[in-house]
Amino acid sequence: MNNKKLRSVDLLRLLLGVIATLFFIFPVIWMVMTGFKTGNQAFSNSSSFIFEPTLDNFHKVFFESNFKSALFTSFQTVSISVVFTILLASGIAYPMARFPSKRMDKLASWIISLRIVPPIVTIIPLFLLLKNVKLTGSMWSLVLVYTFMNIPLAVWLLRGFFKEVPREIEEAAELDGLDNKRIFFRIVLPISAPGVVATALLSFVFAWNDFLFANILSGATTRTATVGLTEFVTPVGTAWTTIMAAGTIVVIPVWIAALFAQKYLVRGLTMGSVK
Amino acid sequence: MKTLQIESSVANGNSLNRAEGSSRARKNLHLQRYTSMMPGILLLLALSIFPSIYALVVSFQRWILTDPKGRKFIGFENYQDLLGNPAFWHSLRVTLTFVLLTVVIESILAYVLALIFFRPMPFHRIMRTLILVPMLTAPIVVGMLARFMFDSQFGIINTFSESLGLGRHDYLSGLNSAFLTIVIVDIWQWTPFLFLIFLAAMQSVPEELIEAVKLDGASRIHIITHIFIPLMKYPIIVGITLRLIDSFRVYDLIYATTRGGPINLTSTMSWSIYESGFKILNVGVASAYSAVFLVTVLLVSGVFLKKLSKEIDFTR
Amino acid sequence: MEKNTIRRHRKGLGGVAAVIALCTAISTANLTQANAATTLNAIFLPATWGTVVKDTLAPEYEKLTGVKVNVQLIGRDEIYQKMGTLFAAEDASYDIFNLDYNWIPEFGRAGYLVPLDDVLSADDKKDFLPKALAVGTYGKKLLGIPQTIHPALLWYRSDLYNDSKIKAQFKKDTGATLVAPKTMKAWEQQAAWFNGKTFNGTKVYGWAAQAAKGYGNVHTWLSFAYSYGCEPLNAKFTKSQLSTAKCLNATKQWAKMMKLMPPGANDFTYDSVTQAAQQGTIATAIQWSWGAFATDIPDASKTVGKWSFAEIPGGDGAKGVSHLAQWIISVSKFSKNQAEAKKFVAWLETKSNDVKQASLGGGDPVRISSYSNKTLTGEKLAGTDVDRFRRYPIVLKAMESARPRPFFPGEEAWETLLSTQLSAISSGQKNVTQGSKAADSAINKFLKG
Repeated sequence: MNNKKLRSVDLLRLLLGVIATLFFIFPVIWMVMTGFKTGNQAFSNSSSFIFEPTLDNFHKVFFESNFKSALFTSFQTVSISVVFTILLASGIAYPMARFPSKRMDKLASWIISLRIVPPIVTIIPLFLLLKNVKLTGSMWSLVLVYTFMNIPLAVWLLRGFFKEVPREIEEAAELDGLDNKRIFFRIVLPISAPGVVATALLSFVFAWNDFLFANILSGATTRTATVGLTEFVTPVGTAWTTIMAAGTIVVIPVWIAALFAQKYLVRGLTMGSVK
Repeated sequence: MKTLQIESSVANGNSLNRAEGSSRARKNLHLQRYTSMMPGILLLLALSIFPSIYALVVSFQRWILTDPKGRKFIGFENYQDLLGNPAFWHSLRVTLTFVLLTVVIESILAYVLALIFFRPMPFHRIMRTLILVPMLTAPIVVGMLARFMFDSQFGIINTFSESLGLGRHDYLSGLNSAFLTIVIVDIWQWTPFLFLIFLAAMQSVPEELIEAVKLDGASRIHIITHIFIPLMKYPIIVGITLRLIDSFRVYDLIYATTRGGPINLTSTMSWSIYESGFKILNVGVASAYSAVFLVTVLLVSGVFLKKLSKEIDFTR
Repeated sequence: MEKNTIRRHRKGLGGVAAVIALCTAISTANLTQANAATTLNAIFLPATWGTVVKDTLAPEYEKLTGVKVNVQLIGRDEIYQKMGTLFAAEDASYDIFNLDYNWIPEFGRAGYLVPLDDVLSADDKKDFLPKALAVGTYGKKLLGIPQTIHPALLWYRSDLYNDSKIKAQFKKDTGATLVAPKTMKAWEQQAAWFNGKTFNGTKVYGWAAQAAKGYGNVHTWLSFAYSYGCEPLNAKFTKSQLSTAKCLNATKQWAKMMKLMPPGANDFTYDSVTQAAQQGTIATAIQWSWGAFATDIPDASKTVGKWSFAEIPGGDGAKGVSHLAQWIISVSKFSKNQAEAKKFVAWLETKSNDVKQASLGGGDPVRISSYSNKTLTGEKLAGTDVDRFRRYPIVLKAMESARPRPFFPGEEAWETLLSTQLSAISSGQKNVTQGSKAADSAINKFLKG
């Protein structure tokens, strides 16, 4: 009797799990599929799921539009900002982890509270500030903003990861006469590498997915992929199949990163919440 | 547990250092530890303190971007106009309703999902990976996708609802449906985020504890409510707080779909600030609005943050 | 295990560093290349006149003069936002902007646009449609060269209107003759009669027009307003007059007509109207004159050659007035290449290029001479005997009485405020009187500030 009950519950769980998975993944599949359809196929009911795929849209996106340069800009600004984020955030998080104190806690609270500020609140003063240093049209304004945007979360995460490094190892290195810098780069960093990768990945995701800052701060040569995507919406028509193709392209880097580094992502997102 | 012991010895070590004396060498060594923090903190200060002060100053001015000569100091007028404008209170209501609905429903859904995936089952790894996809997708892409799928004329959602006998609807433009549709899209995108956190938290509950309680004859429901939830309190609060903070920011979704409409039924505060700053180009009003918005967000999330900080102290 | 992790990560880190170095190298290389010849950066609307500049005219100009022009196509609201923020930042990223003419007073008053009077000869100035030049002028200076004009026209289906059976049935049902309507009441009667009937297997609705919240519904409403003799604002632009009798009548008629549109009308963008016209699901429409080209595309339209054009019907005894739409090209005051930019803008609107833009599918011409140019007037739709630009005589007629939007610096904000209330009216949330009153108070508040 117990076995039967167990099996039926398991079956129920499997069914619910499948339904949930379908719910969460179907729209994405729909988007990818639409990227392979022609305009007529996309709007007709008969060729919803069974149709002959075409590469036209992807061709258009890559060769007949400015999207390529937008993708490149995204990649450039985001990668550089992630490097800066990890460097600067580690610089803050390591002393916090190694030399905790009330003052450090207060500092940590302030830094983490920056995460609460909604981006729209900062956009106008940031824009005016960047204008005064003549950075508005340049890629570096985005790099700065993305770094600033990601440091608070990175500090929170990295502090937790650095704390996990066993104290004895650090103390042993200290006894060996290594200074703080060397201890960090030679001992702590390699050990907490998975956590650092997780933090870098998360920073990458948040910066890559940004739209608000890129939309307002982007100049002639610094449109990111997310902004490029909206350019397919014109007042005289929305090229839906092209947009879906472009959208797929925008999301693919993040998915690939998440696929290979799922473990790290999960660690990053749950770090600080699960001990 | 081991960490705790080590931590206390570190604390003692530090206090020993401090107590030992303030010779210059020691002070320099002391400060040297913190030099690596300078670049990061400088950047944070530069991009947070200065812009905040600037924004505050601008909020006391009348400044329309296309009328630079008309820029002048007007004291609290922007704030008075704002707080006296029914559109502001409407936006506040829309925002708070949105945040409440999305966070509550997402939490419940995520918890149920975590329960479903708590124990292994066939394909569970693949399913978990797929479920995470929405939260990785750029919000602007989600917005475009939503607009496409909910389109009144050719959207797949209408095709589904028609075949299910529920008829065709203007989901994103109907007076009664636009707000709910936005809520649903947000739930679709962010439930996986909470699911991830809750699942990890659930899985870190010691197995022996569950077995022990089961042996005592506890029912499933009892386990769920009286064992899981208390032990997961910290991750739950962290997750909900993060989600709470983030759901105030909703912008990309509205930009791609309803743009605050129909009329103003999806005009959240974030969107209204964008409109006043970049459509009406009145940065004075937009700055005042931003200040009020920030205060609102801090107030609401402050409640949760206090709870959070209590938990942090407890587990240190 | 740990050592392997380190090694793996070392490779990854090294790879990332190499990629970043490569990226930076390429981008700096691009920079140095660009500095070789003069490059102009321009923003145009992604409408046909923008793509014509980008795909055809800019490359041609580069061949002629060696000056490269980068054209970026972005949406109307985004252009306005970009201009607002970039000008406030005194940013030199873009030299040339494509403007909706109603922005000229706003950016002109702030001094952000370069005067272009010296770019047109006296003959040129006579050749341009006077109204076109007028809305490019502010503070007695020409701040933008007209690129395309398109008054709102009444579109109607010649296949339906000329069908003898349909005509007979209409006469029987209403007692009136089915002919292009000259009054709002006649048009309403016709639209109501068509609404919901099926012809040749296609269900047809009365009409369609832009109706979405945003500039869309305001632009349609303006044709109604002007045709009822309504003055939305007083002469000094200090008071909103939407609750005057004439304006209320116009709004009431507009609200009534809104019910004769296809489902989802409250969301209708320019694109939706075009689609409806192409699919033949509407009998009439109010749409920009130039937009007719889309209905003549064989692959996309089921109504090739079937649309005819008339002036906007008049209301309450007044003569119908078209709401004038126009796009203009201006030069930014902060451009570092003002002379070159002015030359390019002037070249875009020479006699031959005005004709060329029109024949390539760009907006309707801005020069009077273009309207009698044989290349355009003689062209027929492929494989038929129908004139491609059969709308030109009506366009010229409509231009005589056409009226621009309220031409003052706060116009864009005015549109934003008005559109919210129009949206409330058309969705039934407020009635016409309430909505007009709410709009009046919001607009008056804005005008005072």
